[in-house]
Amino acid sequence: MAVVVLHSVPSLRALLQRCWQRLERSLLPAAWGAQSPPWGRRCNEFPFPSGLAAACLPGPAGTAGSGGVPGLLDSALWMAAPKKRRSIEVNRCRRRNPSKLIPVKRNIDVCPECGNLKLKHVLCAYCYAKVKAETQLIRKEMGKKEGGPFNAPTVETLVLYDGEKPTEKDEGKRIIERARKRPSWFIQH
Amino acid sequence: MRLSLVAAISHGRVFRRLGGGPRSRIDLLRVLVTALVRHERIEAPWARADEMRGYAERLIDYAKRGDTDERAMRMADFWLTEKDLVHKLFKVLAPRFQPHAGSYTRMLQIPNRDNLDRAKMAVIELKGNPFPPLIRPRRDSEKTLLNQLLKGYREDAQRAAGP
Repeated sequence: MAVVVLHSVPSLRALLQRCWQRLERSLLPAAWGAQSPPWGRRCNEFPFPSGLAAACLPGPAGTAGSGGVPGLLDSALWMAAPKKRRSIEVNRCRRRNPSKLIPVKRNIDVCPECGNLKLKHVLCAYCYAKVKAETQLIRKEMGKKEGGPFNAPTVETLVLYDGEKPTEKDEGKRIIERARKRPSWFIQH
Repeated sequence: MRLSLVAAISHGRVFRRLGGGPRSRIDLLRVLVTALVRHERIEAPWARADEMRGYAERLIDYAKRGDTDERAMRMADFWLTEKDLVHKLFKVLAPRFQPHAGSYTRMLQIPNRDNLDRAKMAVIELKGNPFPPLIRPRRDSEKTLLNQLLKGYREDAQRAAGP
């Protein structure tokens, strides 16, 4: 019945032929590269590798068409590669762009105690190291007094240096003796 | 009303995600709180110290209720893994902070850790600890212009009021 319809209406047959061609083109684009002008025009506009232009020619397409298995030239997968060497000016613009530079710190100050440099919102490294060392020595004395582990005292602690006596408001406190002169930065309250 | 949980948006979330999961996070913070109560001054990564600070202050608020309070004792029992510190908490820290209304801890940033990770570190301490102070409060010098002007004004006022 379809044959009878095709014979009687030539325009319908042309339409069906065109539809079939479009279907073939979409399935095997490499085989149709040279023949369809829109494809050829696009070759010039977009930066396809030059290998694609070669694939548009019937030579490799013909061999691929006969081979059956699409090779690297005919498949849709192409690898990106730089077209030209980047000049030193372009390279410099990219490398020295402010977004790529390390930001300059403007929050560096001088510690008023020791004169070393410190960040404004951070403790001075030298002064903190000093305090940390003294704290560790005090903790060593505390460890000696406590004896073993898990013997936390149930009274407050007071640290006294050479020649210091506890006052009357330090009544029930545990005394830790340090065998040195009181440092100037450790004020007794 | 939460109809969906949108990942990668954390608007308004106040608690950080630490360690490997919620249980691990609480265990981490618990260890830090115990260390703070024992040593009264510890160094820790800044985020962990900041997270732990709230828990430590709330624990002291609970301790201020007194050790006869059942909830306070249960809290102290959970948060302090070393049980001799429970005695220290109720007998030393609670009386020490009784006059204070809040803010029992002081947290300051220290230079980044010396390891390869260069982590942001903080030192957190309980106020009133027996150790040397970390910062010395400095009074403004007498020689600044503003202080000299104020001093002159004060002397003028005294001279006018005196004779």
